[in-house]
Amino acid sequence: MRRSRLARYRLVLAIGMVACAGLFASAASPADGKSQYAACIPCHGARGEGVAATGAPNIAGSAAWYVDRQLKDFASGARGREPGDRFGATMAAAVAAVGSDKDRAAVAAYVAALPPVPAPAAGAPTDNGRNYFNAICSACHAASGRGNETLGAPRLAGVAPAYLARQLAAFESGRRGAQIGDRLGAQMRAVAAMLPDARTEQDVIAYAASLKP
Amino acid sequence: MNKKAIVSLVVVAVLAAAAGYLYARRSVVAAPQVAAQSTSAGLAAARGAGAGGSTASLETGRPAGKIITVKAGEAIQSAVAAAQPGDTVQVLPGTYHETVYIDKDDIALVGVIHGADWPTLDGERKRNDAVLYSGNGIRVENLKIVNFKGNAIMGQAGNNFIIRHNWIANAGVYGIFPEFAQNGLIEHNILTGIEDAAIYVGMSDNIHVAHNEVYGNVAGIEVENSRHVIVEHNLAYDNAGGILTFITPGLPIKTTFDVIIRDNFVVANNHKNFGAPGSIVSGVPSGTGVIVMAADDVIIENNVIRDNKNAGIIVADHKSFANITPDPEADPNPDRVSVLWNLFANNGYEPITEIKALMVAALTREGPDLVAVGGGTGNCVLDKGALKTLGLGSWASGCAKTSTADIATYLLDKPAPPRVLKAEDRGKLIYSSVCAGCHAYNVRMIGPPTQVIQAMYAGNPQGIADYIANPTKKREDFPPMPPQGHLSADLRLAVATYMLGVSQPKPPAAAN
Repeated sequence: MRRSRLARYRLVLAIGMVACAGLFASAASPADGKSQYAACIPCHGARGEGVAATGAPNIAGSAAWYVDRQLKDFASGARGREPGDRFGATMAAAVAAVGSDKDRAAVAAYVAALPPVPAPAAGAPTDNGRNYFNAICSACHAASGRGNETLGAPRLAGVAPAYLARQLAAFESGRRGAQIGDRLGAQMRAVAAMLPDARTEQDVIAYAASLKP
Repeated sequence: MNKKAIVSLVVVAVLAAAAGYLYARRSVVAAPQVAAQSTSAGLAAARGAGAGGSTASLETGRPAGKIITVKAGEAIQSAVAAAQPGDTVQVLPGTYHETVYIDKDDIALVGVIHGADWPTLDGERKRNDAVLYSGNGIRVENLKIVNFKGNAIMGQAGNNFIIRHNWIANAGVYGIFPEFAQNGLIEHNILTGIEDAAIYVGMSDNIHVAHNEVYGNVAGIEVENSRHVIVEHNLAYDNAGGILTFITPGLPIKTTFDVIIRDNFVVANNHKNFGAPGSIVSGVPSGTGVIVMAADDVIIENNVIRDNKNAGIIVADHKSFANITPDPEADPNPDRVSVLWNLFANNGYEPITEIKALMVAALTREGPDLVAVGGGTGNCVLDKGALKTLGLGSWASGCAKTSTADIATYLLDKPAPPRVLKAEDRGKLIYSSVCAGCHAYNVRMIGPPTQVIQAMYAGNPQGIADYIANPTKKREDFPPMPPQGHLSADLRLAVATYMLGVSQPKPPAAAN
């Protein structure tokens, strides 16, 4: 019966299309991101361990949702376009090479799958650092410093202290997070202002960096 | 069957019937007799009896309201809804799955216990709170409360309360928690498995805590930002910390003073601290009998304090306590603390690192019965030479007041008047009596600090009002936010608006 055979072809075709669509829609796999990640290696290192001289933080093991969001923000200009932000400008240029949403997701998945490399210690953690971290930062970044996807808060545990210090200063000055409509940035800007003094900022950063990623 | 046998059978039958009748009569009648006493009469009786022996209560002849009985399978909340001030809701044995909210005055919620059968509120680890009340003159008695995620019994600005003879196990936040209250009695309760304080007296005045047994909790009994409180004749064992009195920074009320801790057994409080990481209570060092943090005019007398592995008593300022950040509006130092005669034995045999460092500095191998860390003036200890002490350099040896025998209780001789409330103060009252139970301005109690919530909801009070009616869990390492849907939409908006406007000065900047 021609009609039924045609129907069968159609069915096979439909199943095939659904399957392909499913493949494309599925989360990017780390393997897909490996070649894309080559563009990141000069600054972030082959293991995602960060390179102090370039100012690039240790990103290995960072949550995919966070890396993806940052890549999007760098690409769209939501992050890294303030005058004088030379690290941001570098990132913005690098991200332009990554291309599509799918590629960004693949890189993010690759970075997330890298085993975390803790930053070198930033001096012994202090009670003051622990107290302020637990009193303020832990509300979103968790007492473990591992971050909270629901709240959009990234991992801070074991992140390079120089990078954390630069970001904290950027939130305070408005170099980061001050764009209209950046709800999470506005939150972080308000919270950064709750740390009472420079010493406490250093202490909090040293404490975060000392936590196990 | 002969005549004699018939007679004996009849006699036995009559006796049995009589016994049955008497038993039935007793079961039905006994509880209402207990229930018929009003809460204020009970408080007056407690005061008259010197509080400690208050269950030997007096009848004042006050007219009592009606008794509404709740049986297994019925809802306690329906009975509460039907009750008028003065009424007693009598709960018969059985298991009840609900949250009871009492927002009217002078209601007694009284269980009837038959042998081993208790009226049991079971939260099944699903529900948040068992009993919440915001009325004055509330009595909660004879209930077994198990497996709630939040509080077992929480009072929200309810004055003149009695919480008595309850058996509470496994609550995710607090066990018995009067918040922002005046004049209340907490006695003869058993509490265990509470993830913060089993009995938490918060921002309250004139409270009496007596004859309770608290074990297996993070904190046994905690008196925080409260004044005129007596904690006596309690048994606190196997908690991480036994009896605590604090000024917690960032709360609307900034002081704790006139607290008497006497005649308690504070024994082997060596339980692992299972408080939420990063919270203040998680900073209580396991193995500590009594902690005074920043509270003033505290008298510790005639307790048995033994086998607490870290220290018998710690007296600390804000600076020296984990997870505390300063509140410029609160005095961080414990002043005029008196440690009178107590029995100390075998404390401090496995102290935390900080105390070990003090021991090294003091050239001693003996862990402390009593250790003072940080600031504080006017503190004294009666029998310094008999104790193992650390850090008491500024403490006087010998105290001006050597006994609290003249202070039977701080309960009031007349009921505290209800709070007079202007419409515009409603948000503030709810913030103080509900929110501040878990949210301090600048530190992490149970929930995220108020200032972080302000950052998240800047300009969006409606967002808070909507969220608190039906909260979702956002933070793995925090207990879940309890739903506040029993508050009307306009009250929720009022408190959200108030919360966004709460402020506190920043601490002065430290030298870099």
